[in-house]
Amino acid sequence: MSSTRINSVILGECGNRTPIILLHGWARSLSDLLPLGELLSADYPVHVLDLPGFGDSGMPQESWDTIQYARRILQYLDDNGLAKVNLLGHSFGGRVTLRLARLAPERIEKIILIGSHGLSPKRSFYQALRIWAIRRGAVILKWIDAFFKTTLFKNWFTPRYGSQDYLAAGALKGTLVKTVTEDQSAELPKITAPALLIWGTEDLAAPLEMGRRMAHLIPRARLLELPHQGHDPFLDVNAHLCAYHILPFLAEGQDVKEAVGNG
Amino acid sequence: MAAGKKRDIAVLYGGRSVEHEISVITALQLMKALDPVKYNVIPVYIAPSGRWYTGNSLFEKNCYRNWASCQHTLTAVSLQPWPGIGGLKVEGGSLLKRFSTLLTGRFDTIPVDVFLLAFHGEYGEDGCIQGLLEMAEFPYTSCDVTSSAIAMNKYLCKSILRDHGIKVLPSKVARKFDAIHNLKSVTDSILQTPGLERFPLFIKPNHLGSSIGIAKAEDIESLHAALAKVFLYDTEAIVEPCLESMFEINVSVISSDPTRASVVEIPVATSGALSYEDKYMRGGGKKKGARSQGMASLVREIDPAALDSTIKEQVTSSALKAFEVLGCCGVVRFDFMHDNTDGSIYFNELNPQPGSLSFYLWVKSNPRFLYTEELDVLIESALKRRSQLASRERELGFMALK
Repeated sequence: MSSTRINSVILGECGNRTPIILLHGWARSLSDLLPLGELLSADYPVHVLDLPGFGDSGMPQESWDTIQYARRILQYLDDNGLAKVNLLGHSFGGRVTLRLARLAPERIEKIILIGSHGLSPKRSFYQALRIWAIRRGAVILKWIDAFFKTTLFKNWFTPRYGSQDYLAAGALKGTLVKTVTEDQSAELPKITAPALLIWGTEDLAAPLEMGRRMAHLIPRARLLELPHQGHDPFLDVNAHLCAYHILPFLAEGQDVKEAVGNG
Repeated sequence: MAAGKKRDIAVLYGGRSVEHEISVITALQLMKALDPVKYNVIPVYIAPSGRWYTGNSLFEKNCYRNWASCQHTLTAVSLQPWPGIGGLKVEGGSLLKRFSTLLTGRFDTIPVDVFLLAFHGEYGEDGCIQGLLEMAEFPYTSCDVTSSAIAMNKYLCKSILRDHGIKVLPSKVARKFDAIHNLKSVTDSILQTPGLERFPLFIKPNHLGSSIGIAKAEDIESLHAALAKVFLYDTEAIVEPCLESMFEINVSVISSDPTRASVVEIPVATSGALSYEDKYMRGGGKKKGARSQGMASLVREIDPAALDSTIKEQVTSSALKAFEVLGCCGVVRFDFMHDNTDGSIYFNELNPQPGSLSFYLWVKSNPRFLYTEELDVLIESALKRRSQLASRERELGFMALK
């Protein structure tokens, strides 16, 4: 059991409807998803979380992978008496959402993924060769540093070839390295929860082709493509368009369930 | 999700108005909120020069900041006032294309089902563009020619509503032409109007919104300065008494089935009356790199719990009555003033195409409309209105000429 503290904002009082858990992207915080959470909270209880290591949540004691993040979220559900939830994950939060959908399918009613990571991006031959060379270069430089007591990897290699996320990751560098290369493609066909995938067609961080592959791999998935939108198609007024599609998706089958519950 | 053909929605904005920039903000916002499953969104920007353009670059804010370079990526279009034309005419093109158009009289069009208007101020909000769209028989989402023209003439609008039992403050119109020829006579005429005998007075442009050019006059000198300021933007100024203790209270009305009023809002001014900066530059607008959200960024109290429910009801019923009296369509915002000294509520002005289309009020109303839903309502309402207009009998022939 992890004791890493999770900061959350809880919105809405909607009786016994299944709550929605909102998980933000890498290097972001719950404030990203608050406007969308407020719109959803008119119909559902909403928990907007700071993932461990971000916002006002605690820092993990070690470098976590997405399974450890998923386990910590499950613990949050237990702590708050949430037997079953809907999950919404953006970008990195999407990776965790996918893990949760496999780890505890009985507790996940539906999932919503916005510009989610979780699959390896498709790369051209040149891109693949470049990444292979960078990784091999890193290994060689670390070996040289260890042998000659130099700092080439830290002072020369990282500023040139490290990604923006890596450069800004601070204490979360290990977590980033563990999670960024994860490919869950083998797990996606086993996801049983209905899924709504929302993707900006101009998303550069998680390109649309990734969303299309994800929609193909998850058995009960549908993809909503938002033209002229990038990686954050839920910010500002865009939250209205997302809520406009998310609320009917969550309501599908509700009438039947409520009738059975009442009957 | 909707099945069948998507509707082609042309978002028409910009225009030759001092409120041009606000129109761009409103349009950029609403284009993000339109449902891409139901609609193809076509941005149609009227540049300050009056030329019409379309193209995908218009979805980006940078296009307007770097207009000189962006303009080349766009297609010039126009609207011909011919019924049945079906869309926008594509201007220019290759030499061969132009020659072919010259020979055949045929030209390329971009199909449009509905025009979604996002203008503020002259030529877009005052009935001009509405007249063109009526001529071409297109559905559009705003007040019609008459109600737009009345709404954008503050004095005329107040006069009509006063005659229908809605309270308004006394007012007087001062014309630029008269002031240039005889300023003293104009000043005397203002100060002799019942209710305007004492300073302070409020001076506003008679045809503009967004609080552009408004000023408070404490004496004759500052009245002259205020008139000069207004005449920079408008040919008419409207002069009103300045309430000593008041608050503004606004409500939106939408032509759905039935016509609905939103919750009320109390905008918060930094000092005295709301300024252009209060309305559009808060919420990050002044910060480098931060985004202004138009009217949505104004500091406001929406549906304040502490506000007396009778005031809310009075404002709402006056707004619904005014909407009907003036024959409004689409979504509008009525601004009222509450006089704290005697509890009177005065109609102040009507915004026929309000900033941010008042979505921030509808999302808090009951029933609630998300912005996307509000735009659905406006589009359906425009189509319904056009089909009603189309059902009129207009073929009388040439009986008198026989």
